[in-house]
Amino acid sequence: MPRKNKSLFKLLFYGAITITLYAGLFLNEPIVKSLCSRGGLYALFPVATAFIFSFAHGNFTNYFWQTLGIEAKKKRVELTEHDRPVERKEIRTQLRA
Amino acid sequence: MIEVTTNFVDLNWMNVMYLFFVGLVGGLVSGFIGSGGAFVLTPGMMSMGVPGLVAVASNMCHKFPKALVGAIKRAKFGQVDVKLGIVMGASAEAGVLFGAHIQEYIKKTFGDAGSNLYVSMAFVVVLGIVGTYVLLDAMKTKNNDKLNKPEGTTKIAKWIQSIHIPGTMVYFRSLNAKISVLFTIPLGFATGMLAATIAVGGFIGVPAMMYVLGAPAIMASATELVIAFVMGLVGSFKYAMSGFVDIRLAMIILAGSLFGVQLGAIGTTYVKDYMIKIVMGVIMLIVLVSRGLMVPVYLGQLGIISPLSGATVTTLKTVSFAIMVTALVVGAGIICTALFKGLRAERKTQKIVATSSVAVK
Repeated sequence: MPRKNKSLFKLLFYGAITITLYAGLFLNEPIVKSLCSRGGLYALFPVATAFIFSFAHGNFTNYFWQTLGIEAKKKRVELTEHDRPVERKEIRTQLRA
Repeated sequence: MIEVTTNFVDLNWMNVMYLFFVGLVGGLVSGFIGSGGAFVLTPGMMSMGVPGLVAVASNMCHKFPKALVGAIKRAKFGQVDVKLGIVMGASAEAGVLFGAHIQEYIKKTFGDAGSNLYVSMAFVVVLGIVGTYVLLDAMKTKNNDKLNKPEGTTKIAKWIQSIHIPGTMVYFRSLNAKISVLFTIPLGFATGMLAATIAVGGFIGVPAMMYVLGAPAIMASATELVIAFVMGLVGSFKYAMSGFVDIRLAMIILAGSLFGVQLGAIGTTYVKDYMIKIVMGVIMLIVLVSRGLMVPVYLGQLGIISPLSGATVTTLKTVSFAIMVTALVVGAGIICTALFKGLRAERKTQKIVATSSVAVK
């Protein structure tokens, strides 16, 4: 199944980025600690870090569940059509050429 | 500012695993009902030796990226009303500032015990009133659902939707109606104030959007994630300016909570509206018991009643924290059960669809 392969590839890709980011954060702990504690404009550091991590890890977790087959309920036209309120007007233009 | 570095604790594997797990469960609940988890994380971090302010700041710094990821996911399902989220988020911001001021004033005047008592009383009063209402309404909606009655809008929401104030009318997708922006201001403000007081603004925000404005529960809980994102981003920046955010803690919690938030968001597509209300009401009432247990401890510390013995205080603290964790676990359990039931039913339907060429009814 090509779709499965595609999501597996994306899972591995974002997984690798996420692992790299986390490794980078914890291997440079002293620098990270001092950057966080400086305050002032250095506040951009933790906020930007949070954004970058959420992008990579957010995508990773998304494909993680998708690869496991846990996905959102699909909307089916056949199923939802009957649930509509009764007052739907059937508007049909009749083309008679 | 150099001494602040000592505020950042050394981490060991136990702490990391604990934060990851609590983040996961908290994220699951947040993805489903729009908020939650924060009330366990802050005391949890403090029990590791993280100073209170750093715990609150780091918690906030994981909250906004989590809310962002959850909101994006739920927007894909068409459940998010971004406009309402941003409008409510703006007034929530003012509420946060005001709530923080009150916190500081109480701390100055009555000390730590006073501010703890204030926070616990806010928990008990707000969760008692709102939680009971939400749970009763959930039962009503569940019965209506069995009888196939459509979910009605509350009287107050109908009244608000009927009022026309020129120049302030805005159309909101989740309400499918135009309402005056002026009505959203006090609701957002109260959400922000609660967030600054008990760290979970959604316990006011979501019921307010449901009952006062008339949004469906699924859309209200999804829109709350937008409000949480706005509040969390500004709040994190403010704390980071003073150097209180420990990004390591925030990112460990985020590691777990993003797994959870995705799962919680997927869960909402399998449940009926009343399930959101049930989970919210149940969590609120369990947390209420947990905080209620602590009230006598703080009253004793303030000298309003005769102080409790050391052993009693320790017992109450432990039981209170355990009940809080229970609240999250129970919530997560309900969500997971609903999700896996839904998934099984969905797979059956898919099989039927795949094997028959006839449209399924």
